[in-house]
Amino acid sequence: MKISNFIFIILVLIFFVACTSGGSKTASTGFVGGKEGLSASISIDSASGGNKVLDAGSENFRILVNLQNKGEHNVPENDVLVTLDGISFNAFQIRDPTKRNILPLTGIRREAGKATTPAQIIVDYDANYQPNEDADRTTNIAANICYNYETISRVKNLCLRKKVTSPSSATACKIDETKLAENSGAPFQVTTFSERPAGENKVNVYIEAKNSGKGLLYDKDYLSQGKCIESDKDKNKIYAKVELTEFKDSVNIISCSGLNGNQGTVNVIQNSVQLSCTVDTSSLQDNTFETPLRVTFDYVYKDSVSTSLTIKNSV
Amino acid sequence: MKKRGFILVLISLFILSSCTSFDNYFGRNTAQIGGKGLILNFVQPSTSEISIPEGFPLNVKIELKNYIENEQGLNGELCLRDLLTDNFGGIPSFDCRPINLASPKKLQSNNNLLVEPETFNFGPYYYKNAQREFQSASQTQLIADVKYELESKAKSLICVKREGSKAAPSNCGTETKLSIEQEDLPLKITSASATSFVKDFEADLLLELTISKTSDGQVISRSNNFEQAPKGSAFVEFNLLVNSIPAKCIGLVGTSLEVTRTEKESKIKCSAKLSFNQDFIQVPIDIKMGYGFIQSVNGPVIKFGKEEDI
Repeated sequence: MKISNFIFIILVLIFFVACTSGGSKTASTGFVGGKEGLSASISIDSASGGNKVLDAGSENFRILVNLQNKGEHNVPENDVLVTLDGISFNAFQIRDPTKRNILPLTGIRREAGKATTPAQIIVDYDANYQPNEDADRTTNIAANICYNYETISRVKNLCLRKKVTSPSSATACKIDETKLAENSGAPFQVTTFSERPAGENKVNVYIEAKNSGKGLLYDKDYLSQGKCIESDKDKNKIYAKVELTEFKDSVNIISCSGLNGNQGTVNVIQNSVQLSCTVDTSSLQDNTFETPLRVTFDYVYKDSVSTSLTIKNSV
Repeated sequence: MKKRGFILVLISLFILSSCTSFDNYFGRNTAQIGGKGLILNFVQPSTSEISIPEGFPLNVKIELKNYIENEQGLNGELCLRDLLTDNFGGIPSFDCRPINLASPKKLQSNNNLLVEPETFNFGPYYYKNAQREFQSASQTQLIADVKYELESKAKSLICVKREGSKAAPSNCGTETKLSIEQEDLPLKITSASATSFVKDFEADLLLELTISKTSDGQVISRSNNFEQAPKGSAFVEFNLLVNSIPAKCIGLVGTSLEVTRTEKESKIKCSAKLSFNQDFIQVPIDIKMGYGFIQSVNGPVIKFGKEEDI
């Protein structure tokens, strides 16, 4: 009897654990997600090995910048600029320190329930250190990577009706609440989304988005400058567009402060952006309904990688 | 007791190993001239004091080891003298030999320097009547005067960065202290700092250096420097390159730094412009100084006695 009681208790416990372990289910999103865009690394390919090269023009070697697309945006060819940094290009005989990607980098996606392997390419430079050093010396070599990227954030359940302030049924969706924003895999993402009534025919949405990566945000047209270096005037800018995907004329009914209607360039302050938008519901249906809202951010992301390089005095 | 004895042995071993690990040690008949660069050693007589009878020949051998790396090697003069007048025989006023020392070779296996010593023979010298004249202090001392010229090379790296550059190393900034790589020589750069101002695609660099005399001796102008330095001064040829481009320096007389006999250090300021089309750059700084140096090194004491007394 005692043993049977013991077994019974164990079975009950197992039952409870099994039934309650998945209690707090997170909402699944259609995106793969993640907070990265392009991931980069830099290395030296030389006969000397170990990040060492010879001086006085004795050794041809290559500087390799490896790029992997760990986000979801497809980066077409020529949408990445890699500019070498930290060294004298003349001394290293590097004709052009800036190169673009000649192959696209497709974003990750979900296939058979799993995320695909990140696409990768190598941007390489031929180099040869010309000056004659009296003794070995070590220097830092870096690569700046600037690339066009896009973040898509989706709120599946924006709640709307024509007369916002009129009462609604208990089963209808709520206008006044914080909603979950799903983000595509990218370094800049929406972190807070909330909706509230703003008038008889108006709904306000508040959007906060942040840069989660170690890089910096630049104006979406920055690649036209031709090189990836610091530029105060182009830095901390992002292009945002807010739209109701089920409505062709959302440009007419959405208006955001600081934007030109529902889209425009906004300043990034301390790595974050706040948008306050009004949705005009006067042309919408009377009944409460849910509809998806999409926020698209377009930007150039500037990141950097570095490594040490030892220049050896060749005898 | 046993423990104490063991500790004593350990301490002795430690002291012994410390004292014999350096080639250029300060000891009897050996001196370090001009920093670690040039080592002089009285090989003969090998002790710090010898007694010789009058009329007995005195032969002197001096060994020089050159640790200074430069393409031209080390040229100069080695002179031997004593403290007595020529009336007592011995070394004539100045007995000199030209020195032409090859640059040391660097061993590839461990980067150590392979130095070939050169030996200079002086004498024989004969002293007479010294003991009779100076009964109470019948001795003299050998002194070697070394004069040589050299071109020293010092180098450093300066890192200049644009505001906001994240890839720049932590020692990259608008004001930095520079770490100088240089040999141990009579004149050394004892402090160096750099300030940079970056605007658009150019950087203005301001460098401040302190050059100090680090050894006993006298700095002199090089023989090929035809500029006449004022009395009590010497001209040190000075050349500073930033990324292989000559910098403009203030406080120079032409391209030379005037160094007075009494000054222990000199300060110099140089400026350079750098084309700067990237977020950060590390550029080499090369500093060359050409000068001569004279130093006197005391050798063994020579005591005179009658033949029967020795």
